[in-house]
Parts: sequence; C-alpha cells; structure tokens
Amino acid sequence: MQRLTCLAVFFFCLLAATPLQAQKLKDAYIDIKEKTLRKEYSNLAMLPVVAASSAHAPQAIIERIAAQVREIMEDEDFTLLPPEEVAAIRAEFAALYSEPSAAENQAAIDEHTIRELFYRHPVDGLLTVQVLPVGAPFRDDKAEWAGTSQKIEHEGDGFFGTLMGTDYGGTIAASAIRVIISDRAGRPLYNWMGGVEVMMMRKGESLEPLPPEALWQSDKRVVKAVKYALKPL
Amino acid sequence: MHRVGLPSLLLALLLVAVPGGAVAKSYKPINEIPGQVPETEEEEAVWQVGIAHQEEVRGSDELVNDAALERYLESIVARLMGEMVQTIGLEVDVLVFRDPSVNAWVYPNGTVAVQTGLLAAMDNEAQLAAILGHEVSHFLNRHAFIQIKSKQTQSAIGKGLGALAAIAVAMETGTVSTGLLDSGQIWTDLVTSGYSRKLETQADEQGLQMMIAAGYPPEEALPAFEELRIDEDDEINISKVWSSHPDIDARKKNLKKQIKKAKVSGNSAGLDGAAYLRAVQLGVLANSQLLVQDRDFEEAIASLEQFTSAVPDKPTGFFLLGEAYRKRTPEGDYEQRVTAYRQTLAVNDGFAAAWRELGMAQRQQGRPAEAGAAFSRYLELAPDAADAPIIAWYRDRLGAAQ
Repeated sequence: MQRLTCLAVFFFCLLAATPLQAQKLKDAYIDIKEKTLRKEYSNLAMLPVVAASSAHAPQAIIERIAAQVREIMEDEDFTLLPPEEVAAIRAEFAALYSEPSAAENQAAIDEHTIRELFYRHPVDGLLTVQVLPVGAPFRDDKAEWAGTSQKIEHEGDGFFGTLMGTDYGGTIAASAIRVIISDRAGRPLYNWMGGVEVMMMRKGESLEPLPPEALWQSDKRVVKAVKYALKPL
Repeated sequence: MHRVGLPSLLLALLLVAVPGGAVAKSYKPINEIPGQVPETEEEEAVWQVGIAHQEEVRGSDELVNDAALERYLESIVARLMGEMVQTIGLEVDVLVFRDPSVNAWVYPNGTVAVQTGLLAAMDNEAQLAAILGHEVSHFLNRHAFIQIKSKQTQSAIGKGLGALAAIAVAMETGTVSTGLLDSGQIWTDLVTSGYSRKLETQADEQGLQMMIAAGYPPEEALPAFEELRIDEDDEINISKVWSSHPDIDARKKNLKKQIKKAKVSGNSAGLDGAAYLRAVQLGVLANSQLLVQDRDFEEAIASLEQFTSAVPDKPTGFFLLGEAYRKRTPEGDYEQRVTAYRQTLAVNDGFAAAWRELGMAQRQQGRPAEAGAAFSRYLELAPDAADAPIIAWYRDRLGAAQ
C-alpha cells in the first residue's frame, strides 16, 4: 500500500491505475445459457458446503448458507439431492481406512465418493458451495467486490492524515460465497460469487486481520452474498 | 497485499526511456563474430535474465525433463545449425515445457524452448525443424536483445512494464534482480511477444534456408506454420508468442515465394511421422494429459488416436485414451473405453490402473462377473494402492450381488 501525493497520483493514474481495475473476480463466469441450465441440469446433487479454514466461518453460519442455497435453488425449480447423501457415501468409504485423513487416502475417498454418487443417482450434475477468502480491491478505505462493498475500518492516520484525508489503494482480504454448478464430467457451467465482508482493517499504512470473533456477525451480509451468488439464476 | 512502489515505477520509466538512441546500431550475427557476443554489459545483462529463468525452471515440474527427448530435439537444432555450432562454440540446449499451446521461443544465449503443444501439433520432424530453424535464426541474429533495445524507445506504459523495468534495472546495474524476475512468463511476455515483422520475416527466411541446408523438404514449413494460426474459438491457442507474429497467411505467402526461389528437389529428411511420434512420445503423452486436465477432450482423443496408431507398443497411450473417453462422457463411450483399456493390457498385462478402470466400466455396464475379476486383478497388482480398500469394497459388493 502506498501513500499517494498529488504528483504521485498523476503518475499513478498514468501508469498503474489499471491493475486495480483488473483485480475483479475474473474467475467468476457462467458458461451456459440460463435456459439450458434449467432444462438440462435441473436435477443436482448438492455437496456439503466447503469452508476454507482461513475464512473463519462458524458451523452455524455454514449451515445457514447451505439452508439458504437449498431454499433459493428449490424456489427456482431445481431438484436437489441433499448433501447428506454425499456425506453418507463419503463416510462409508472413509470407514474402510485406518487413516482416512492421510492425504493420499483422502484423495481416493473424494474421487470415489463422486463416482459412486453418480453410479447410484441419475443426477445431472453437482452443486458446490464454497466459503472462501478472496482479494478485494479497495480505494479510499472502501472495498468493492463480488456484488458488494464495505468501508474499511481504520485507525492511526494521525492528526494530519485525519485532517487531509487519505488515499490508499490495494487489495484487501475479504470473504465470499462461491456457487459452482458442474456437469457429470466435472465441467463447470456456472461459477459465481457473492461477497460477504472485509476480513482486515487498516492501521496507518498497514493492513491487519480482524479477529475471527469480529467476523460473520451480520446475517444481512450473509443473506445478501448468497442471493448475489445465485442471482444469475 | 499488493504494494505499488511508485519510486521504482518512475525509475523504470526513466531507465527504459533514456537509452533509446542505440537502436539504430546494426548488430552482426553471432556466427560472424564468434566469441564476441554478448558484446556489451547491456547485452550480457539480457543474457543473464534469460539464463536466470532457465535455471529457475530446469528440473522443475514445468519441464518434461526427459534426457532422451531433449537429446533428440538438440540433434535437430545441431543439424540445422551445421558447422555454426562449432564456429560459435555453442552447447546446444533444448528445454521442453509442459504447456498445450503451440509455442516455442529462444533465449538470448541460444537455449531453445519448445512447448509440448508444439511437439504434438507437428506431423513430423521436418515440420518441427521449420519452427526450430526460425527460433535458431532469432538467436543467431540476436533478435531478443535488438527487440528489447527497440522496446526501450517505446512508451513504457502498459503491458510489459514490469518486465521492461526488470531488464532496464539489469542493464543499468549489470546484475539480475531475482525479485523482479520471479515471473516465469518474462520471455513469453517480453522477448517473444513482440518481435517486429521485419525480424520475424528474417527468422522465417533464414530458418527456411537452414531447413533446406539440413536436408529437410522446405514445403513442410507450410503446414508447420499453419499450426500456428490462431483459432479465435481456441483460447489455449491464443498464445502470447504467435499472436503477435505477422499474420500466418502473409508469412506462408512469403515462404512459398522463398521455396520457389530456392528450387530444392530431393530433400526428404524427417518425413516419417511414426518415427517422429516415437521420438517425441513423452512430450506428446505429457501434452495429452494436459489436454485432459484442461477438458479439451476432443483434441486429446485425436492426438492419442494418432499416437497409439503410430506407437502401438506404448501402453500409457492407450490408457490415456481410455481416460479421455471416460472423462469426456462418464456414462458413455463404454465400448471405446473398454477397448482402450484392453489394448493397454494387451501391451502390458501388469498395468494396474487399466484393470481398475476396466472393472469400473464393466460395473457401470452391468457386467458384475467381469468387473469383479478385473478388480481382483487390480488388487493383486496394486495391493497397497490408496484406493485398494474401495476397490475391494466394489468387488465384494459385486460378489454379494451375484
């Protein structure tokens, strides 16, 4: 992060403004027409919500997200095989191992869980929901990403900083909910994210993580993120 | 957190803008002044940037790292260069990158880089020689350095600023800052992304001459260059390198003119497609795996069909073909899949994964006895495999169901 003077702003705009614009969530895309998705992929197996540990999402929030996704998808006339079915197959395979958590064993269990799921159920594809941290571009202590925006908490600007205002730019860690729909061959058809909240604060010229207990306090933000992640449907 | 260091950006701007006047200088080809290149500290710095990248990737997973494959490709480069190898005192060196795009480049010190996509796209050695000759010409004529000098006169704004800054700093200080060069794309983003039309044409023509002198039929350059055409629907093929080259039609037109002018007859080296595929087999198989990973199944299947007919004693080719069919259509293509797995086993009965996938296909097809037998064979061959407990579970369930 760089404090920008007037001269610097000029050169910055001239030379380096584009990287900020380029940091939109480029990996979000929809690779199928909505009509086709609804017609050919209306019967999906929902996988258990996967939350990155660095997202610090409590179990109750994960369950809330899963329930909300199911509700919206079913309202949109999709039929969902519940995540419990996948979890049951996985548990059945994991029970065959003395060390199911070993990386190699876990990979084998995961792969065959999906193959067995498709063997047992004639679903059209998979619905995956992830909770993850992403890089959100920010400027002037305001981050904007994946359909949402948020003011960044800050302190330590000093008297002149507070008086003159600040102009910082960069990328800050933020949480998001990603929804992926893929076909039986694993081809992702729909990959869209809804932003939840900023996970850091600014102290002077540095960014520091917010404590986990300060995160996931706004149900409104979670609901909005899920709705945005499913909005294209 | 992304940090924008403004002073270094300004420094870069100054460094890349100031020494522009030197571009008008002409640079003799390396073979005409052996032992004298790099001529200046600036050129030495550019060489070092390339060498630093080679050191970074050598031995890494980015490369295929097969000595026999590299030796084969080096023999083609040596054949194209002929006596120039001794004149220059060059140690011919080729690196093979795992990348499905049709691409090649040369480092300023003469090390040639080819991507697996290029090896798979060529029908024979003569076609590959056309591309390698082109790259060797870039090296002989010091095009990387000339191009960088030329770029220094251009605006520093826009794409490539970071790479230009890195080169500029290297030129200024005579040292390579690895901190500025951690991107493995530096050569594909900078040196190879923007040779001028004039330099490209020179490389095309000299490459063709080298091809002819080495006994390759020059007509093979035309289909080779055709493979470089960018298909707008094919994202993989929109490579940084060739997309900026003069358009393929214009280049082919010029090559046809040069071929006609050369009046060559009797050149027939490097036309045996099967021998070529055998020589580059590891590169082609690595490329097929990448295509399957990238879900480019049609391309993978086409490549593997061609490969397995040319190299029928390589079980991995048949197995990958079966896997490409399976991943393309998890609930279909059973006949093709089963055939490919059986062909794998016909070459090598101990290919455990082929037994497993044969069993999985037969289980899906509702042939429990055959599937159970295939699973048993898999478990005999790979009792300690990570998925052995699950395969045993499948087998036992099939047994119980009968």
